[in-house]
Amino acid sequence: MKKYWVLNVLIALAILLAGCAAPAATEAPAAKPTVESSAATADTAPTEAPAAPEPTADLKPIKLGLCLPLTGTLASLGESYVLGIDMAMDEIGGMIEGHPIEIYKADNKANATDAVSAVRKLVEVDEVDVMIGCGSSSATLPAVPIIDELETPTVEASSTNAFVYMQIGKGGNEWFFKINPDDLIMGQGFAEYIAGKTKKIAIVGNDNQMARGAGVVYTNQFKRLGVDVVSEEYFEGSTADYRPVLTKIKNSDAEAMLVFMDDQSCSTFMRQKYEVGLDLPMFSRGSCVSDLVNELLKDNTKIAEGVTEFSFFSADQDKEFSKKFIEFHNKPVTLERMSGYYAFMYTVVPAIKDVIAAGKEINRANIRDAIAALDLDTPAGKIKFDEYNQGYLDGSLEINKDGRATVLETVELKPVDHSDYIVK
Amino acid sequence: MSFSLTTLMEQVLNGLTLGSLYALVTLGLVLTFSVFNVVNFAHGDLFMVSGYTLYLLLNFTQFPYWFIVILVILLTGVYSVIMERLTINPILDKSFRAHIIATLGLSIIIQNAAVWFFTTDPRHVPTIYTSQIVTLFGMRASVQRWIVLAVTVLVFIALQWFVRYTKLGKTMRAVSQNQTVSKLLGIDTHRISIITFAIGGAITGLAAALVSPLFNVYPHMGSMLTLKALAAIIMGGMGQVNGAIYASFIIGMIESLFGGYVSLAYKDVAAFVFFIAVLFLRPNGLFGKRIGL
Repeated sequence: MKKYWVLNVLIALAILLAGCAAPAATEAPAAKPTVESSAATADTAPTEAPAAPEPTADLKPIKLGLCLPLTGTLASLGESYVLGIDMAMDEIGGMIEGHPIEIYKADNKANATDAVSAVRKLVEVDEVDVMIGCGSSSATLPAVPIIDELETPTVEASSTNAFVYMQIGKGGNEWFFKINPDDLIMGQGFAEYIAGKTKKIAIVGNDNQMARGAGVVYTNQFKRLGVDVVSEEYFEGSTADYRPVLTKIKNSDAEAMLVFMDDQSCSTFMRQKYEVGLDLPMFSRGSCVSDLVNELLKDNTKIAEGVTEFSFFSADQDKEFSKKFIEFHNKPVTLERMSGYYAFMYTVVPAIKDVIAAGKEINRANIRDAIAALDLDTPAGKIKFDEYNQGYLDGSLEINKDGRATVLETVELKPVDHSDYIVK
Repeated sequence: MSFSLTTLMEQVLNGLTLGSLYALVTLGLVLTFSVFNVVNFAHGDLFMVSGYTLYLLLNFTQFPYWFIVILVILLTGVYSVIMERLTINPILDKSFRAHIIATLGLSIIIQNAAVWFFTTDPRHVPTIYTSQIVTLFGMRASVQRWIVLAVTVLVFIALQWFVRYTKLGKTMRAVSQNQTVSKLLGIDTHRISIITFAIGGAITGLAAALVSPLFNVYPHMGSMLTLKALAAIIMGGMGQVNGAIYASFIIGMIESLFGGYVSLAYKDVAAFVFFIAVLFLRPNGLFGKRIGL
């Protein structure tokens, strides 16, 4: 029995550390109110404000739920959201108009089963007022019907599978809002851009809802534009060796590649692309052009040179945010780090301010109505929802140049008819 | 895609390099498994911790890479012994279930500790060899990858020599065959346990120091490697070192050929279907009872 005390301590430690990594309910740190805008106007930049309200002990706390992948292959995505929200929390001193903000996290592991459990836990156990999530299309798609059933306002800022659009807003889930564009909204222009450069293309992506959804959009667009899709390959996020598929593409007649990947997969993919000597132009819809990817490839900047990506939330679009983020976290800016910040600072915070300014009770229905009524100009584009609860931030065409992600063009995105979207 | 002999050659070589990667990771695990019959689910996490050790040493010291590799090997040997003392030794004579629960628990601790200390951000650990490309037998690969292939073969030969011709190796073989009789003959099995885990850890450290620069280091990187290593061990004949190494190369080859000619998405499925088929047709594994430690 004596020998088992070590095992018992280790099991206790495991439970403790598991709790630390994916906390069931993490209360926001009691922060001092430092900077806070007293005005609830929509276009107020959430940066420096002169006076901050004193924390009022008897004001009702606002419970914010974060439904994000905190472990698994997309754990860095969830953590990136949290980093953006951490910075925003610091900026507003952890409260909105004197109401302290309590943050609850639930790990959706970027899969359907855990996404549903995470949403239920946040809404039914933690009783959050508003949620941000679920971060990835693989978790968002199954979560949308549950969020509708549980009637809790939710803001999403990075899922791009076009099928989400068809489930929310008019005739669907009125509680779910998406500030980022999906692949159908972004796809037409970018597909035309690619078609102007090549007529034979190979598609490669992570095996998840984001990449599969983008694959459907782009293969349809390429068919319309006369671009031949030579091959279409998807792989698990934990894949370490891409050389077989890179060799296959190298020996095919593809003239270019279009990839849908997260930062981490893409950096390894590009490194191996360089290794096998596959010298094709590379286009991306994902996270292949970012400061994080360039950081991971800084030992050889030639690897990512010239990769062109169409996306949203580019570091260059909001230089002030980027500067502050690097100072605050000492980490490079990524799409998801901006997503967390924008979902909170430019959507949840102004909506709750509006509720308070209107003298209404802070509850789920009033927060939902306030989010739906937002009309904000942000450095990354407009946050104003259409009847399908879809916002239209600006898109950006970026290129990796000399080890930096550089915006070539900012594109104002417009609503797109989703009715003929084909789901495979 | 039309068939081309050049492409086939490249895919076969891809399979060999991938197999060598798996083999190097598997070697450390199969050694401890073959001697003590302990399935260590935290083995991949030991690999991950070594990857972070490499990251820290490369970024915060001025030592040359070869010296850092030696440091990582030694340190991982120490980590492995600590793991053996704290988690495995107390349950060495317990059931298989106790081994699984204890090592899975340890795996969770190590992964979450890594998230706590290093966050989930991937880290790259480039060496001077990761960007140097050499073409051999018609295949382009980084010098780092060629080093992995060569070192796998060398370590495999060295391990064979060690267990066959040294006194310590022969003692380990004796313990692997029957612990109780070994104890009766005066062999200190606890000492052998420490030495086995130290050597297994050192090989894992070598694997991490050579393989991590080809990818990124992140907290959950060890899980899939452990699964692949376990599959190789079982497919190779439950603890047969040679068999596990051959099985690692077979897995690498299946993944490469299936990924290259059929679908990259289902390469793991192909490898595990083959694994199940082997168990169905040869329950003792491909090389069970014929090739041993």
